[in-house]
Amino acid sequence: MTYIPQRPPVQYKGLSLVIARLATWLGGIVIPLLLQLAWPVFIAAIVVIVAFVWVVGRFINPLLPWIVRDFIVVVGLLAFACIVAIIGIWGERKVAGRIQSRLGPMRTGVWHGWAQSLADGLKFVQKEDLIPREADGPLFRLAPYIALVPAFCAYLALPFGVGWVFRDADVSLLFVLAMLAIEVLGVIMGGWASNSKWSLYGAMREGCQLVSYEIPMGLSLLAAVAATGSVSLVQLGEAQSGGWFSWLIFRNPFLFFAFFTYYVASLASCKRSPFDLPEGESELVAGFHTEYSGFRFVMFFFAEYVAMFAVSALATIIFLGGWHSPVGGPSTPLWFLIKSTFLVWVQMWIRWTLPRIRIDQVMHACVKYLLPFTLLLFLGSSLWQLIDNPTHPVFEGFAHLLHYGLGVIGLLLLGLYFAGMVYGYWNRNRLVGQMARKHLPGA
Amino acid sequence: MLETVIFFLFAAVAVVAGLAILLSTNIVRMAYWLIAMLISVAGLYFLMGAYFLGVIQILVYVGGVAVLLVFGVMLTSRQLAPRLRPGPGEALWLVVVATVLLIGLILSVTHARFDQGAIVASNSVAEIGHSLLGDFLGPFELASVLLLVALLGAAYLARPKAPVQGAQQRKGTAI
Amino acid sequence: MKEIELHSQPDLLHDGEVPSDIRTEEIMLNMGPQHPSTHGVLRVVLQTDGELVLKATPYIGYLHRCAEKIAEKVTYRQFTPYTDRLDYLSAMNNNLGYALAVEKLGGIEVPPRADYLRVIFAELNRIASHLVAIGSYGLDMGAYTPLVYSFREREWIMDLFEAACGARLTCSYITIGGIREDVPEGWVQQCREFLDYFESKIADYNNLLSYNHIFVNRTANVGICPADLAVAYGLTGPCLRGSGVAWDLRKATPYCRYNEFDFDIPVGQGANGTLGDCWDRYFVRVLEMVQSVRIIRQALDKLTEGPVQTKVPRIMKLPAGVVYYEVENPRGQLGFHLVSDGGTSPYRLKIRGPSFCNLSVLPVLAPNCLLADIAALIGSIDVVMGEVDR
Repeated sequence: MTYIPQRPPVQYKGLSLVIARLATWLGGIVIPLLLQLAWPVFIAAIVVIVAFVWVVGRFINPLLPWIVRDFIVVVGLLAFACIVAIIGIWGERKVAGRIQSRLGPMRTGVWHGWAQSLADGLKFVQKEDLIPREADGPLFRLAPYIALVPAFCAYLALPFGVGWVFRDADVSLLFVLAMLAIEVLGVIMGGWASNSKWSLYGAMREGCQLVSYEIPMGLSLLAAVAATGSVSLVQLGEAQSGGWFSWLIFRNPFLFFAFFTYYVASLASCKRSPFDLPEGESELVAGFHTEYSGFRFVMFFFAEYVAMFAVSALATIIFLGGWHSPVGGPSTPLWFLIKSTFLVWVQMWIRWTLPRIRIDQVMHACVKYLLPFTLLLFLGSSLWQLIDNPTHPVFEGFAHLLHYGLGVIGLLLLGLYFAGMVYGYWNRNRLVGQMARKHLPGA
Repeated sequence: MLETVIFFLFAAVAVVAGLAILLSTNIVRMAYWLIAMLISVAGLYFLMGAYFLGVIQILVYVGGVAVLLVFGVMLTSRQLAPRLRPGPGEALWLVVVATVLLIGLILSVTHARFDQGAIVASNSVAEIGHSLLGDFLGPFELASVLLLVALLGAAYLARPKAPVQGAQQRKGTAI
Repeated sequence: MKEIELHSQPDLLHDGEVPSDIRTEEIMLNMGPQHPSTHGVLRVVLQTDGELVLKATPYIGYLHRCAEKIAEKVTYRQFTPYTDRLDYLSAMNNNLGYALAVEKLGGIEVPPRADYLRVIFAELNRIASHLVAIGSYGLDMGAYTPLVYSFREREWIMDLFEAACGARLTCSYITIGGIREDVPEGWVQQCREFLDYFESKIADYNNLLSYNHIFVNRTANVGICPADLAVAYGLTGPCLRGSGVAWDLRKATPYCRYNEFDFDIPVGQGANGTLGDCWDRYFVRVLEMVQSVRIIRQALDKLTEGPVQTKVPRIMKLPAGVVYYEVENPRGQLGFHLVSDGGTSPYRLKIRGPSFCNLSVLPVLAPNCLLADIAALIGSIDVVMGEVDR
């Protein structure tokens, strides 16, 4: 007979018995009943919230409109972040499919599987909540939240447009960086609390990597800050309001490269390929979130996509002109969304093309190459600011030449990208091959 | 009124977290209570209008020092719940030092004269930058040198003391 | 070159130890039978000091299906499907080896058309097997896309197999006496189309994976196997050729009319690092695909008309005797040691699985690798547990 270890049956006595019975009654009977009568519950909830707001309003009257507005905006931001994650997951699978000459999800939701993320979410919610017996319970449960909540908080200071920001603080750039730095702890906690050597390896690698790559990330952004003189994201965005030549990426050649170093460092800070060792799927099964299943795993997953959009948004605001239109129309938050989405798309592109870098190579790359390079860029950008003196006619001419030259290079890069896109689309049948085409769905 | 509520919220979290650090015996839990306390203190800084200080508190303390602490604890502990129980002699010292500190703190708080003027919200970052490179240039440079010395010292202390024989096979690891 | 002691392991536990004040602890890590980058059910127990691997011990047997014992109970022709499942990725080659061994013992002649078709299918299966090796190696290194591309090409080969024999993977097509049945009409034309299409794809793989800076850094100078170590441990196939030894059974002891074809043996040259590292073994496979295309083209040109099998009784008896026949599989030299006592079943059939011998070098190459390199190592040795465990 095989020995199957049994948990000793728990026996409640006294007060704990009452509490246990109450919890069972609530959880087993009352709440399912309420969920069945969902509509009345929602209406009742709205009534309760309105009553609460009225009661609160009687005591802190002057602040009520602001509190309500803040509440609505925060809920809207939360919803936006969730939508970003959901669309991000769906988009990732479609992009992956197209790069791999297949189609990606096609069935859930009639059009191109748009409801795949929703279906996945529903699936995850139904899963059994497994916690390894030897795991550190409270820390294990807490870790996904520590990974997810700071990523959401970063959106509080991100401006989508001039009036479109929750709180326009002087230090919004640093605030966003600080929020992204807290996420490290959640991931380490998750790896540690799982009490599994594989997860621990993932957590250690990830901690090293994230903390190291925060430095080139911050330094590249600081180069841009030095060029503008402000740490506030709204002001950084507004400093690029003179058409696409005035974008910070084209301001001086050092900032041009600072954009790319920031982008690479942000890839590492989001744990995206080629820096996805922490979730190295083929080596550590799933790295620090090996032991997580169900909704806790969804939280880690969401945190990744929310952080991806946040760092892309930072890059957009600081280097790519934020909400300003490149073609000379009105500056709307729509342009901000388009540019950030494009950067997220490039992140997905990179993920499905490049292999994974080993941890010691990652650290070598950061400390030996990226860090000195970004320091040089910072130095160069600051020096440029020093001698970018309007009273020096020679230098002014040279600066303008370089300014526009960089802009032309940027246009060329963009043009190359579009040309590649058009070529791929035009020859999409030929590139795959005749007989293989018969196997593709829709043939 | 709202300010008071939020202040008490952050202060309560800070105090509870601080107490939990002292009363807990699991080192890893202690580290995470410390993080909670640091974040609530940062919240207090935000409440006072010292945005830059609050953000730097999170960036440096939580994102740097606390991560280092957690790493150190995790890499050197042998089991999942490393226990740290002070002995009886240590407990006596703890009580003595804590009482002295408490008396000193209470005295200094009651005898201090706090400036009742309102805090002017200005472009704090620029002003801090100006003072760091102007009035406080000396301490700033001194602090940088101190950090450099600490870095060098740590790198020196952590060097491998015997040549690692296996390194020859992996000579091509650098990019 | 230093001497290699075969039967005593170097003191790996204390080699590379860093004496310092803080006592570092070694972790015993189980890369279990279920793991994404052990190719199949292979269990490797690793003793690591942080990220550095000190000792690796493979445990096999999770896929043992008693093939050799079954051979003693079934007739010769009934055993052919079992050979499919040895190295399930190169079924045609396994069938070929078994058929040749039996034919040698029984003195059975095979018509020329069958010979050429056997070569064609064996080389097609070599391409298919190397595509899986390359694709899954990229997957181990974190490049998700080359896998799907190589499987896309492999689908075409599977289609060709299905058209010829009805099965994609475990074909049992090359039987004793020739081929089971002739290829259908138009098959040769489709095969040529595939070859034309496929040659351009190899450049794609090189651009995407082989010359990718990150991939090269992951695999170059990792798991260096010098030539004498390779020979001493009995490595064969791309593992041996990646270490610089130009040994290929198709050239050394040609079978099945291989001496009529003009092709090269790709040998590792240490182009991106040291000779005998993982990249060399990987790149030898890429080059072998190019050579296989050459061979198939020549075989298609030489294809004659005629029967494809000699008549062999369903329950055949072989004369008493012993034969050991080796063929060049995609993974190495597959050998069949056939002992017959004149009955309808073999008295003993011992199968020399190339992956079994290739895997034996893992504990020697693994020490002083990083944890991530173990995946690179196992992927470059390219084991298929079917023929390790049989």
